[in-house]
Amino acid sequence: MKWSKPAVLLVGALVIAGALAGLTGVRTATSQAVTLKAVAVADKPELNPDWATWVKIPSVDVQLTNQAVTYPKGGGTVPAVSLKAVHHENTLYIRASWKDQTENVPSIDMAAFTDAVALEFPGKSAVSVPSFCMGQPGSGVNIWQWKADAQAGAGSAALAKLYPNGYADSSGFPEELTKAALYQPAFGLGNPVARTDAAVQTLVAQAFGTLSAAAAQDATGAGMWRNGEWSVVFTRPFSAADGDQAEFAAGKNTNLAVAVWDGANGDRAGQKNVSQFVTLQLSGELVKAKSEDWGALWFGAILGGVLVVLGLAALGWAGVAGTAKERA
Amino acid sequence: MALQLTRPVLRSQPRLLAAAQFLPTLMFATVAAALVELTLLRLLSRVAIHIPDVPALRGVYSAAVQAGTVTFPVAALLAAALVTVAAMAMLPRAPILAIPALALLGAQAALLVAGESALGTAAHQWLLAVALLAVLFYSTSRRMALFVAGVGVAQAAGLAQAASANLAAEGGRALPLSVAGAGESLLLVTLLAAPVLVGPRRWSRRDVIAGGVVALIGAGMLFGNASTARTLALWTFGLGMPLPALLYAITAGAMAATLIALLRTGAIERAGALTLIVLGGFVPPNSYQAGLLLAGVMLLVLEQPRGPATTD
Amino acid sequence: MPAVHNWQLGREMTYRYDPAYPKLQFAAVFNINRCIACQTCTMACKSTWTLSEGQDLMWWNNVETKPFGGYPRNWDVKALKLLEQSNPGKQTWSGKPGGPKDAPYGKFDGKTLFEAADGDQQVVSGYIPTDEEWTAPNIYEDTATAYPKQGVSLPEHSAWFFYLQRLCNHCAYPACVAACPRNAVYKRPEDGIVLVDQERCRGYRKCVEACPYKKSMYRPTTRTSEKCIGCYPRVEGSDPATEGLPTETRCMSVCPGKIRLQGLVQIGDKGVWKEDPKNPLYHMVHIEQVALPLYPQFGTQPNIYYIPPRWVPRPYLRQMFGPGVDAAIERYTNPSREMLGILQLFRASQQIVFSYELVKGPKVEEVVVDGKTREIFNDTVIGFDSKGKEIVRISVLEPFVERPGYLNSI
Ligand code: SF4
Ligand code: SF4
Ligand code: SF4
Repeated sequence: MKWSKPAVLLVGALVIAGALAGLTGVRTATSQAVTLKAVAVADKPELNPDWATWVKIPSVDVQLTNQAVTYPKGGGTVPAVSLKAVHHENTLYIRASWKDQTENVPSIDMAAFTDAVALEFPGKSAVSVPSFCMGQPGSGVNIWQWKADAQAGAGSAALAKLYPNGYADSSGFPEELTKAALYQPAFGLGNPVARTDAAVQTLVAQAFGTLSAAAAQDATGAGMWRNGEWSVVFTRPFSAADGDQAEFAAGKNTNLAVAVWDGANGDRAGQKNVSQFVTLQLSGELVKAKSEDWGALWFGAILGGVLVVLGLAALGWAGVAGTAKERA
Repeated sequence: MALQLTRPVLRSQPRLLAAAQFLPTLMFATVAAALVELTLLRLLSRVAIHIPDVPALRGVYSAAVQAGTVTFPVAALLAAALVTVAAMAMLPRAPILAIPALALLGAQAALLVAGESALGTAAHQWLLAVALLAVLFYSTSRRMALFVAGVGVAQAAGLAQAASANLAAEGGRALPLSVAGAGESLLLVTLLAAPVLVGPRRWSRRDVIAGGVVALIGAGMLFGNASTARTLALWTFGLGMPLPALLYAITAGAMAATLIALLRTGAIERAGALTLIVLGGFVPPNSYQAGLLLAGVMLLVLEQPRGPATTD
Repeated sequence: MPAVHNWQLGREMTYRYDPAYPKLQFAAVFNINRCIACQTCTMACKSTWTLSEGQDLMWWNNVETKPFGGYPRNWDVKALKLLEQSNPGKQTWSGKPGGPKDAPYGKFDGKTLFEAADGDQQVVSGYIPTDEEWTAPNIYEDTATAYPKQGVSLPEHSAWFFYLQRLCNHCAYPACVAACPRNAVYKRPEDGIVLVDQERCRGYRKCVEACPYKKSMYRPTTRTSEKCIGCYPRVEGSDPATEGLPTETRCMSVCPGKIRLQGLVQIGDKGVWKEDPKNPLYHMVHIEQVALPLYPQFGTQPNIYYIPPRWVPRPYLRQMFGPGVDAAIERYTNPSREMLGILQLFRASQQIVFSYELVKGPKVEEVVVDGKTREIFNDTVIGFDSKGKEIVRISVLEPFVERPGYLNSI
């Protein structure tokens, strides 16, 4: 191998520049994942999957796979989720919909599980390194999880509905007491799964098994099941009230991953369908939601491709011809 | 047809020397940095769930990952420089190959400045596919042409699917994933044939044994801890593994044997180029790995012809 | 997966976590022969811990009539079936009972529930009982296997049933701990009590699915799983009623049948009990081997030990308590002087007895059991607390007082 002095100098300079970039967090590579574009909309979106404007927003299909990384593995019944996103007055709205033949709402039944969906974003500290999406150590993720049973307010009311003839002897304690936090420890300790007033839980995690409630429960959402399809809308202001969560800004990108639980399949915990990270692009300018005109786009892309190949071929032949002439 | 299009690139060496003299050093540095980054960052952090949480180990682990985090941008810059120099080295003689490569670098710089966007990412993927296919026109031998064609067409299929998924963000429909699956299968077959297509003429028994050992280790990983091995294959090399796991293990063995045999026979440049192609992965998940892949393919056809000069 | 030593099986087995043992382990011996199925234990627990809404189907302590009863319905038949399906015909033991304390019952050659699991979706082979199975906790109460015209006689009754008293076994290798993907279930290092952290639990019910004894239960109103807490405030002596002394749990201390003796035993290397011959539990489990674990083949190394009912056909008992059954019944039927002394300690004190002493007394009687002559001595047994202070003193023969006659006596 030939070593030339200028080459060694060049490599040295690049190593120093790269190390500086690494230490200062300057990006030297970009992610090539699928991009979900959140356009700015003029009207305030409703927290409703049926909000009229959603039909005009292009959707991105994200492939889901069964979760096969860590125990408990599972999922595999929901192949894809369709995502749409908009933002309005510094608030992000994301709509997820997926096919599910059964509507599994109650987890009141001890052996039944609820349908659910979650969005995952890099935590605030991780926003600077989206070029390397997964497994970034030391930077957490922010998760918003919507659950059908939580939306239904499953709790005492749902229990009474499931067992209308249920009857309990008086324990002798006054009801205020037996309903108090002390007698419902999960509720008393502020465990978000015990809440019956919110369909969406805001969570943070650092690694497998570390999922915990975020200090501020400020993501909200609403979902509906119709004709074998769930549609769920999430929303949260760009800035969260606590420091661990994802931050958004118009004109800035971040990443997003999705998980879907199919209650009928016994999904819960890691038993779920997951996507890899996709890029979430928050457009800066106010864009009027446009209709799906993918045919034209495809046509443009293919035509452009053919033109470029032709051009390149021409240039290539010109180059070869030139050499030949020169030689001659 | 590919085979008839083969023609040596470096017919007039003196004119290209200026850029070409940088190549060996740069390639060596890039391969080294990429290997370090891969081991410390992308492999280690992804198997960290299997590392016991002992305080002593935790220190070593964070130090290693920190080192990997610094090496990542170094490797990314080196890869970009390598593509630039390779493109410049062939610009006068092979613009069809050099121009899309330079355009790709431009797109990458634009994406870095402006941030990722659906259209920008699709364009980048599209340019990478064109650049890879363009290299095909300049292969120095029939076997090489077959190899480059296999890699190029396979990656182009995967890239087209990924680009279509990105275009869908602007209102479109993505190509089915089976297109990417077909691409991956073709890539696997191509790499499996690497010993014949790009391997050295003479083999020693040791090369074969080394390849066999790597294949066994690969099979052990894939069957022993299938989920971790598959996750690493997917997240690090972009392999969705639609084909039987055994095939992947054998392919790893074939590539390892080829690399070792090339190193033994002194074909260091070719070994480096092949390593870069492997490190780039299938449908590179980021612009850095895209650079590794393209540089690898370009260096394959740029390598100095051995024996008598093939001037016409 | 790490390997751990399961002394009840006399071999290494796989477990999700590396071995880690508490200093002391919550344990108890239940003398099935004496239970009257009064359910006082059940109600003591219910009225203390599970009286609120959403806990309607929860019975952390329950007493079921075997062989037909079960709460939840058929829990043991289902667990045994999972094992049989994964290892048909090979769930057998080799070696001989009466071995050293790291393999006292010989060696189990079959598969445990940990070893039968796929490892992907389950690390313990299991299932989640339906709501229906959790209802009717006392179904088949007092239902015998047959109702013959003639009477039945020992050693094995031809028509039989017995009561099985159950609560969480605070296992050495808890299935519930292994199954929880979030480490929300944990085993306390100070006393081995296994708890579900109500702040971390997310209601995945992996512990409900995994526990073969089905002693982790789901509470639909809080959407978390709850389980027996081993009355830890009593065991640690932090409950004001205990006056700072380690005290037996609610379900133990109320037992009118005097079938229960609970305590804390010292744990040594590899999770094997430390030599402690003066601890009554140690004496019964390891020296006399008269009390046996419930379904040891499940692999969790449970810590409630049972003196088997002596009238029940042995194959059934061997399936339930392992190969040590015959020797245990023999020793219980012909108890040593130490054993007879220890049996007096059952429910003689609310405070936990950490050690005992036997003061020999005179021979008072000779009886013939199964054709063998047995002598009975009126020994006195003394129980001591954790600090070696005497807390109870009781003799084999109850003090007999003849009351003087009265004209108007009730
Ligand atoms: S209190 Fe004692 S005798 Fe009564 S059922 Fe419970 S264990 Fe049996
Ligand atoms: S009996 Fe069940 S709930 Fe109790 S420790 Fe054992 S496995 Fe856990
Ligand atoms: S130990 Fe306490 S919590 Fe557990 S079953 Fe007995 S009374 Fe209930």
